[in-house]
Amino acid sequence: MQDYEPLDISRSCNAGPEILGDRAASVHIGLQSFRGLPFMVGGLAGGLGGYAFIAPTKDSGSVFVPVGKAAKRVLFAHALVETKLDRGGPLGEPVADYVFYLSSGRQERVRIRERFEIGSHPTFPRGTPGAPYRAVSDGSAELMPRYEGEFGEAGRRQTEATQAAMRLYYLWAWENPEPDSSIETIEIVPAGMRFFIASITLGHLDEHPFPREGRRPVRISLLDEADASKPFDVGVEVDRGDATYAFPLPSVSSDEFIQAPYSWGQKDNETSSPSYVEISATPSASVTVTQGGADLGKVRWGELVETGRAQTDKVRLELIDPGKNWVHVTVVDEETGRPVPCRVHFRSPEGVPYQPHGHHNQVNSNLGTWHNDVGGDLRLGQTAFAYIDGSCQGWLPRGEVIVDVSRGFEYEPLRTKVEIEPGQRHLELRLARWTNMNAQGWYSGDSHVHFLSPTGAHLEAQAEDLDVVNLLQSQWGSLFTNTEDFTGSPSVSHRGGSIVYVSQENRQHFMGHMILWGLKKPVMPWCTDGLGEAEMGGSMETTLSHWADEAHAQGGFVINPHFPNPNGEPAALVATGRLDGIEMIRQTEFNHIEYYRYLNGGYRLPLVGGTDKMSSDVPVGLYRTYARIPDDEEFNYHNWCRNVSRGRTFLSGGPIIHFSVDGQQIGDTVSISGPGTVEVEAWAESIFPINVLQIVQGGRVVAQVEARDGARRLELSEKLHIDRHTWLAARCGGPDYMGSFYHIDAMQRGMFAHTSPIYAAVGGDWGMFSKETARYMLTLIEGSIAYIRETSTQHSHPHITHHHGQDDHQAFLERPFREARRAIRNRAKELGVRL
Amino acid sequence: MDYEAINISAWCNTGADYLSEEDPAIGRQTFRGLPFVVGTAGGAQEENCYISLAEGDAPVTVPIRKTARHIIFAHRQMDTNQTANGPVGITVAHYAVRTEGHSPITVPIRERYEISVVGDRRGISRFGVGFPYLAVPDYGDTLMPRYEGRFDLAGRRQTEAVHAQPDWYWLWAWRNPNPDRVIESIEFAPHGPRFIVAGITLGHLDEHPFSREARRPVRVSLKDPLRAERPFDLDVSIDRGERTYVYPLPEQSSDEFLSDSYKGFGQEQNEKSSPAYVEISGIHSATVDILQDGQKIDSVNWGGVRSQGSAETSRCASS
Repeated sequence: MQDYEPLDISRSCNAGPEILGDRAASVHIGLQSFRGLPFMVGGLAGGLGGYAFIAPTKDSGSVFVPVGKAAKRVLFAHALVETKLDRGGPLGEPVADYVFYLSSGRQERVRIRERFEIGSHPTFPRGTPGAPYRAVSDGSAELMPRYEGEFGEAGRRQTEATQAAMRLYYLWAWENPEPDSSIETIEIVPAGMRFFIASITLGHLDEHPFPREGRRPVRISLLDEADASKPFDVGVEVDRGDATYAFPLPSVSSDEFIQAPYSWGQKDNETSSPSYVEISATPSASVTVTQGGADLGKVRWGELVETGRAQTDKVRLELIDPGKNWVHVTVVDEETGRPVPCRVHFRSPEGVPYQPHGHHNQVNSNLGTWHNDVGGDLRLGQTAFAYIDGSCQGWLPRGEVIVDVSRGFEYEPLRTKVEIEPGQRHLELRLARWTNMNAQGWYSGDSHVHFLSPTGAHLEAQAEDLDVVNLLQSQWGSLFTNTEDFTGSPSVSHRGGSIVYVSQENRQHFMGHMILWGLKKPVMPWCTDGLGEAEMGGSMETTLSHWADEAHAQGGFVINPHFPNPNGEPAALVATGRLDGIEMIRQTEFNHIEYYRYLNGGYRLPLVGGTDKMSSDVPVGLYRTYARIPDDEEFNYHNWCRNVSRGRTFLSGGPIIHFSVDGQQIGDTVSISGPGTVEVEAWAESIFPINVLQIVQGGRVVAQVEARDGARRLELSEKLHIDRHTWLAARCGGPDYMGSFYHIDAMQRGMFAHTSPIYAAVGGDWGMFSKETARYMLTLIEGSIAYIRETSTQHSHPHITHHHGQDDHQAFLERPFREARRAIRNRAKELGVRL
Repeated sequence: MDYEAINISAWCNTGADYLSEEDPAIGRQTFRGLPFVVGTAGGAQEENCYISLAEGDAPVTVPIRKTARHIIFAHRQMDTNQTANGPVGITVAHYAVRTEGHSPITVPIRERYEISVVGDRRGISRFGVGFPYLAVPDYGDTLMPRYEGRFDLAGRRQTEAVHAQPDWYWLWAWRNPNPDRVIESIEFAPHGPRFIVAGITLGHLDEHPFSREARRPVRVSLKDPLRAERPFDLDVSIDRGERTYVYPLPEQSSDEFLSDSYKGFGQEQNEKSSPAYVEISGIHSATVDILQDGQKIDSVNWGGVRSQGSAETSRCASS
């Protein structure tokens, strides 16, 4: 016997689709499926005589539909074709009585009421409020196209699914109180309002025909190794219910996850197995697993629920639902006992994420997040983190739960198992600080953040134990970001724990980019010349040097981001003393050598760390600048910037590093009367393993200490002979220092720390010069002038007044480069060096 | 002929398999709207298609025997020290242009000036070692798909356009100071790291071959009332330049807009195809195609629009 059996109602039909007016063309006659259940619109005869519906009126009287079969439920596909609700009419108006005549002689009369068992189409007439309380729509909820679609739907795509909508009918199910008795006849007794019945289906199963159980997680394992190792492309379809997108589960066990030496995130499992999906369905539903759109296997949901697992020759499904509790979680500081902002991740032992309510389990469905779903959550590979102020709430699975909590570099990450007992509603976690850099005068900041809201930046800064966030407006082609957030002043959180300053990153595609900290008024244009900075077909309107000058004129500070690239104007900026610091956002040999090249050329350049955060795939402050503020200065935004510009900084991607030369601190100058010995001291300590601590002098490593298997802390104390002006810095990182131990962020940044230099002056004022550096800089400057003259895009017609108001735009553009060329040549001349 | 591609295959010494991992463009090609021939015109895979030289190799001379205002080279460097912080501006080669009865003009080809390497985005792009100061990628900037595409690019789609990266070659244009003299030959003399020359094109027009003028707004009006009334789906393409998306202009005149009772609270969207506007940056010889529903309905010369202020065809008016 069929589990659901559509009735042939053709002999009872008395109306055609035209009663639906404009929607008549949408009516399909014959067998079809609504919510995975079979319905026969118009009956077997398929619209006999043009009739598809039973549509009795009070005038025509009752219609009798012969049945002659037993059924546990009777399902009606029906709808109103009129309503008064849009004009304030009463709810629950009787539409009809459906009378069931049973073989036992019993009659069951059921009142069919508007907005209870039946309703009108929501757009017929327009504005009709509310779906019926006891009926469901003929359309099911649907997942949105997962990977591609209309850009106009990109915002809605983030919801992942669309609500079930009534297309033509509402489905209402009547439960037979005598399921073993035959239903002889159904009498449809109209009560006044115009309505119709399109189809009637008998339900023979002992189940409610529409899913009423919340979704439950299911692990999917592909049994064929070739299938399992393919790049992830798994989908799940459920005919009588709903399924979420499938997502990969971690490829390592929860114990391996907990014991991993790296505790910030987990590498993605990019293969097709294992994965998980969440399903809500009726027991008779079929669950079909697909890979690359092709069926891999089909199981019955009821079997999976009853036995906990179901398997075909290619796929195994396991219900991984131990029950769940709504739990209020508080994360407290071990030292203060007070809630502390942080980021949290919860997962089941199988790896199913249980993020706090209001946060993503999968950030943007695991799709790219550039300028897309950037704030509030973080994704480090396989792991989604929620930023919280110290408390959160939501579902956690019963039994073993893996928690992963972090707060910057000065707290020990907490990755452990906890047990959620039946009935448990509260969970307290404790984070322990291992060092307090603020207490030692060091304050951390991210030089370079985009797209967050200022409020979001405060939360994320506090959760990353970061004191300062430089949130930068900028332009990417036709996209302008954080436009509405500029105030020209710092935003200090009400507890004083974080400062967010909305300022600017001005960018030119060829010459380079320019961070302007602490702007009180905008410096425009934000970007200029080519893509992807200015708009398509843009022209070169200004230079980085002019932006720098405008920033300095209003008391701002100028940082060259991702130094030196794009490598056009930085040489001119350095030569003319327009930079207050240079930023590294990666740990590469290239940017280190470039940095050292300029230091060797005699230019004092503070080192700054920042993330250039533009997505949810990097935590704010993953690279950060620690700046030391002297005891006699208070911590505020201006003092933080000013001490950065004084070179009292180190960049950290995890380790805390200390460095002194003859007791002098980072950014200071040690003076000795002539060639001699200085004593250097350095240590580094980190929540991540470090393998090497090095002292760099003039670009070369002159002392180091190693820990092959990684260490928590490394220390070094050496006497170094110095015979001329030089600079010294300390740095630490993974094996061999350079880029060998990576974070799991979007850029896979190396884990390291590097100080700004301590300058050593020997026999007079400090000063260095490198002919090689000077020539390199002059070549870049000449190239930039050539670019302006021969390649850059300009307005060739005369009807232009530029923002600078000067007549000779070409001269305006070339001026800083001429200044830079002159400055380098003058230095060489003073030193008697021929270039 | 405004631009004339020279077939240099007879002087090529290296086959396409040299760049086989990059599936290089050979045969007749169009780079930035300009014609080039890489190897033989038919793009025979078995024939040599590049002049490949490095320091120590004998120079190669390619006869030309024609006049030209510009010579455009499609070339690239194959090795670099720049990723290892090597010097900028080293001389890779000298290109010597010989004209009858005169001394050759020798031009140094310098790394990051007239030539550079082509590589992956991280290694060689402007975020790596920087684009050349005087050469441009073989393809121009492009607009992103306007209406549909990958959802993971939805944030980036808001930027509307993508900066050009070279697929295979850099294009460098040399301006001939003696455009009336017959160019007898061009000699390629290596002087540093290996480089290849993929194509040479002569420019016969008095224009810089790559667009250097900022974009300018252009109104597009469809004359056919039936086309003009269609729901907006207008696009513009340009072969030798760049253009923005096309957007509808208001149906109301500015006077009607000023006196409208909705002042301060918007204006009905013009959902028709005309009038509309686009912003264009192109060279004089560029051809601007007007498309509706993806079908070309007309073409105009950009130089005509620029110099006259408007161009009119039977179907469109651009101004």
